[in-house]
Amino acid sequence: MTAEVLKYTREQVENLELAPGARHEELEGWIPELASDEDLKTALEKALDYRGDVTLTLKSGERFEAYIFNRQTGATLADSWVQYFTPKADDKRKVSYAEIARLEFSGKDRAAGKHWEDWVKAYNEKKAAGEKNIALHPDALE
Amino acid sequence: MGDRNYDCIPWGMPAYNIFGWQRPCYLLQEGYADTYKQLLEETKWEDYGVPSGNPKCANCMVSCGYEAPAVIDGFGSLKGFFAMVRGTFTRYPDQHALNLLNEPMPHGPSSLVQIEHPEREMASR
Repeated sequence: MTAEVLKYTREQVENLELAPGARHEELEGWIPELASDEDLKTALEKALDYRGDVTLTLKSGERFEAYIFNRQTGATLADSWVQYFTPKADDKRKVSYAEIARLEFSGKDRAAGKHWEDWVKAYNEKKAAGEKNIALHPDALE
Repeated sequence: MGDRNYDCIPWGMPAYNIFGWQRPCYLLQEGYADTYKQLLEETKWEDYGVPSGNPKCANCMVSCGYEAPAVIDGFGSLKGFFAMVRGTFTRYPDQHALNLLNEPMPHGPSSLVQIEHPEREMASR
């Protein structure tokens, strides 16, 4: 948790009926402009939350798909890294923020449209249309 | 058992998966530690749970944070153990809990959805 995040007091929490939730961003296909260190940090933070693959291009020219699942941020880009799985390797890999030149949200966003409210809306529409056997279905494998 | 107030113990249920040791909590996205030692030593545990003031933890009542304190309470002392036994094997009138259940909700996230005909059935033995 970063230091600048506003903390609630116990009293505020007790009086809070609903805590504000996270807003889902539509990032699929987005290629952030990485003009500054802050741009890169922000984009990689979004990549961590992204439920899909991204494509990383390193300053060395190497380009690969990655599912980013972890990160550690330090004082500088060289002290910060993301951890990822890539189809090119079986093991977990790490790359320093300082090595990253380009980031693309290239993979399908698996979380898009998966809100509970979305599902209830679809359920109610199917029910109103007289559909039977309405249930939760997993995504088809591609 | 019964009407109790516990605080979340974020270290109560460490989770390990293919990504590593998950930092608290599994509902948050706080990353992973490669080893259990790193998880214990590098995590800022004071930043989690309702009393921490972390907005991500505000009003959270998910079971994983409260099962550990309930177990500690139930098995950590004779008093706690007998209270647990009493709650389990006796009719335990809990007016406060009943009032909470009967209290009309000031809001509702959405209506209750009953899936009428789930396609999957329990496999017969």
